[in-house]
Amino acid sequence: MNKNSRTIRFIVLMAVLTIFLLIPWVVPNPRYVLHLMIMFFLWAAFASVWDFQLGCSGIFAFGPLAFFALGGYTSALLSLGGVNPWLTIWIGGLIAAAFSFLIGSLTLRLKGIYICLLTMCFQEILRIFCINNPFTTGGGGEGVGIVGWYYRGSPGGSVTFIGTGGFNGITFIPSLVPKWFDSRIANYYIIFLFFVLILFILYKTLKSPIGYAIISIRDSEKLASSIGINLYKYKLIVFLITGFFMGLLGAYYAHYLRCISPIVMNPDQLLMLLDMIVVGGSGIFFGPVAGAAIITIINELVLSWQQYRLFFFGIVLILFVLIFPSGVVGFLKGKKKR
Amino acid sequence: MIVDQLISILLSGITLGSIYALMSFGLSLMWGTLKILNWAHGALFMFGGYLAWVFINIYNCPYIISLLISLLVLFLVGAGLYFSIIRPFVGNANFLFTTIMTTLGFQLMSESVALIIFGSRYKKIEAPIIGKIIVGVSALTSEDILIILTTTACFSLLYFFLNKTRHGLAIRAVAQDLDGAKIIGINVDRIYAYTIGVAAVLAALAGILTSGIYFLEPHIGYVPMMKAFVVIVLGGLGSLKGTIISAYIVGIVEAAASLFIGLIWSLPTLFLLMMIILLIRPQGLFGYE
Repeated sequence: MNKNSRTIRFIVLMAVLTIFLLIPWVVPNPRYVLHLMIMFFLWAAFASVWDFQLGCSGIFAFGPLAFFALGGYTSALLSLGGVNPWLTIWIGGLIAAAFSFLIGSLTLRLKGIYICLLTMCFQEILRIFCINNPFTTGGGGEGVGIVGWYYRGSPGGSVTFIGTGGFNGITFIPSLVPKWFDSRIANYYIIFLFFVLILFILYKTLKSPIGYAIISIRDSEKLASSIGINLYKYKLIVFLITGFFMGLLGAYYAHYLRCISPIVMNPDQLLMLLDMIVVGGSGIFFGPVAGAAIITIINELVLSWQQYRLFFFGIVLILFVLIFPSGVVGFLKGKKKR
Repeated sequence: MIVDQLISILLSGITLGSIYALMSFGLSLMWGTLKILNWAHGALFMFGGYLAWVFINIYNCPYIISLLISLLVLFLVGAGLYFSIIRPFVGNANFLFTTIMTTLGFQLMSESVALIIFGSRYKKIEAPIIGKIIVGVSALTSEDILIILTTTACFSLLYFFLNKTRHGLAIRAVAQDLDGAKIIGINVDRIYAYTIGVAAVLAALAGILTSGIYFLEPHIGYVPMMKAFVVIVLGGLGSLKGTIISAYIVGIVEAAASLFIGLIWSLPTLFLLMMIILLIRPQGLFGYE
């Protein structure tokens, strides 16, 4: 790459950044658009992080939303216990990374299909755990318990312990931004910062020796191990990085929407993320971001046909895998080369 | 007291195990021949149940005839599934994970289709026989007896099919040695379609039998599919005998877990069991490396 094209690239990148920074002040109906943009940045970052596992390092880990929920629940419970939310989102990320490391260290020596099944199992266990809510005597739903560290005061003044909150999840989580500030604009800038930061770190990791090792493992495990790359170590590094970012994003999600429930781990959420990755292009750096943009817009367009949404996303997934296996970005790139 | 509990665990464990054996045998067969994990198995399970319900309750067919018709239709659906979303990827480097994605898409899509067509109201298929057998303090209802007897009959037929008929032998040949099967002139493509058809029939049969004891709803297939995954991993991927044995183990463990820990914890218990078994013995209880 010569110096000229690098300058052009830099200018384009700066222009895009400026446009995104200006959006809250120029668009009409900013509250609605900003919510969409926040959700887009959140899921784009999340899809990129998951694709770092699937497409870039070739580990088919199928339970990313478990770490998302772990970060979210940890941060929500801690901040309701009185800790500053700006501190708890990082703790949420660290807890998710710890669990990711644990799951990775247990499973990553196994064959690919077992990694897929075990990570999926972990997600299902966590989902059922959160729904069943073993901390309370009421079983599922909201019960009344004896001990605990999270109490929700109702308007009447009585106090109820809710644990993980059962099916309804945890609500009234403190926001990251103080009340006197317009929270949506602030939240937009926060998630934008996280998005840029996460993508930057992932990009730098991919361009570092670690990244080359990871890509060589994806391309051929046998060759990689024969030239002395420690497969297990590098896969664990991938799990650690992705686990941390997933937990961080989950914590952000909990503090932005001010509620988190086991619904975030539903299979249809997984399908939407898979759609983003496949539509954009798996294993291509900006693929999941493009896919997230497309899916967010389509999701908003088909909002009034809520019943047919899953049907539609299933069809999209199958058709894209069948016809454009490398996604929209891969398709466009391939065209340019020819 | 403890004897009564054991008897009740054993009875419900055998009933559950029969359903899981039907569910997971097809998955194991597919892993043996095609080396894929079918995430659309729950959809086949659910479609089988709904189809039989339609024939029984809307067209007023006798139980046995509607059962046979829906199994036939599901065989075709299974073969269609192979030709539409699995065959284009045969031979790809990422065959396993691509098909996991497409079949997962099909699974969630068909849950949505069932929700649109049939609605979310619960439906039930009445068993053709009534009555119950009382053993100690626990009882086997007519539905349970139907499930156990049908499963036994079905596996006898399958044993005959896989050991004596040409197509069954061809399926086993492909599972044992793909290149060898190609050399002696087996049409591998067609055998793949047959395999998925047979797996679909078994899943549908499980679905029809289950709708006698549980209620039919669009998402009914997902949890049995998860449990079937546990079963095939536990029994060793591709080992047919191991699959059947571990299906009954899983059924009994689940019955014990729901009695002693609580019904809501049965699935997490099974997943934990699977995790532990995988970490100790990655090839499964009866598998081979």
